[in-house]
Amino acid sequence: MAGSDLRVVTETGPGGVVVIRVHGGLDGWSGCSELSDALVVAAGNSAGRTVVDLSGVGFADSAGLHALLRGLRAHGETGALLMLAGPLSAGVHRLFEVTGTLGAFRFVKDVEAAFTP
Amino acid sequence: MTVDGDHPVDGPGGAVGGGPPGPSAVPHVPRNAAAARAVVAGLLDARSKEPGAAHLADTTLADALLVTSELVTNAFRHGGGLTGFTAEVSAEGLLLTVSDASREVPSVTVHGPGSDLVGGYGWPLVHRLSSRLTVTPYPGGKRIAVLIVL
Repeated sequence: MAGSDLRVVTETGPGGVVVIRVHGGLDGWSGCSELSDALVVAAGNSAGRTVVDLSGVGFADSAGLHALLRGLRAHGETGALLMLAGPLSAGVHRLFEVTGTLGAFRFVKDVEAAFTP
Repeated sequence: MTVDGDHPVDGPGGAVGGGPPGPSAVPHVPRNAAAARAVVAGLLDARSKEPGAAHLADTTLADALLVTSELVTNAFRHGGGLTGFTAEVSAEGLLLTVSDASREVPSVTVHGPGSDLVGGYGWPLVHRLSSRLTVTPYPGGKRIAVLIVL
């Protein structure tokens, strides 16, 4: 449950789609700016599609949400598509639910589903 | 049952957007949000294993951890540091108290037209998930008490 063990790894998947894999907890201590920065860079990717794999995130609070929203805004500016891939932990799903942001993002059940048109 | 954290204090990471460094060590408070969440998770887990205890829903645990995380983060980032933290389960539910070094009462960011829509979710989230919320200023700080029905 430590919030300081966040890992953000950016990969390139099929068709040049950028996959950002996040492991750990997303809170005010865990360097959510790392995720935010990765998302801003990804927004300019040539495939025009980014997938954030949240299946390895056990906990996220509003700091994590803010990072994702910054990434969403950056993607909106470039016209790229941002998808959030699960399966989501109960806590992460609850964050989107209680903040009313489930409708703001496009969710896919897992990373593989993001590659399926 | 009341559980107090017992770790030295350490502020949120600066890379997140300028969280201030923690003040000099205050004994008996969690050193960060993750440590506070661990206290609450441990408390609720112990309670759920008591004979005759009702099942704790995943969403209830999630709510408790979210509120804990937001309150403790606010204390470090906006409240001049965490000065007190208690978690207690009673017949009413989970009672959290979080004290910090600022008398300033948290306010809700209003998103006007054209405003930066990123940010400002933390405090409304605490309001939304708390059955009762009180903010009590005192000389040199404030104490926020929230009840989460289990």
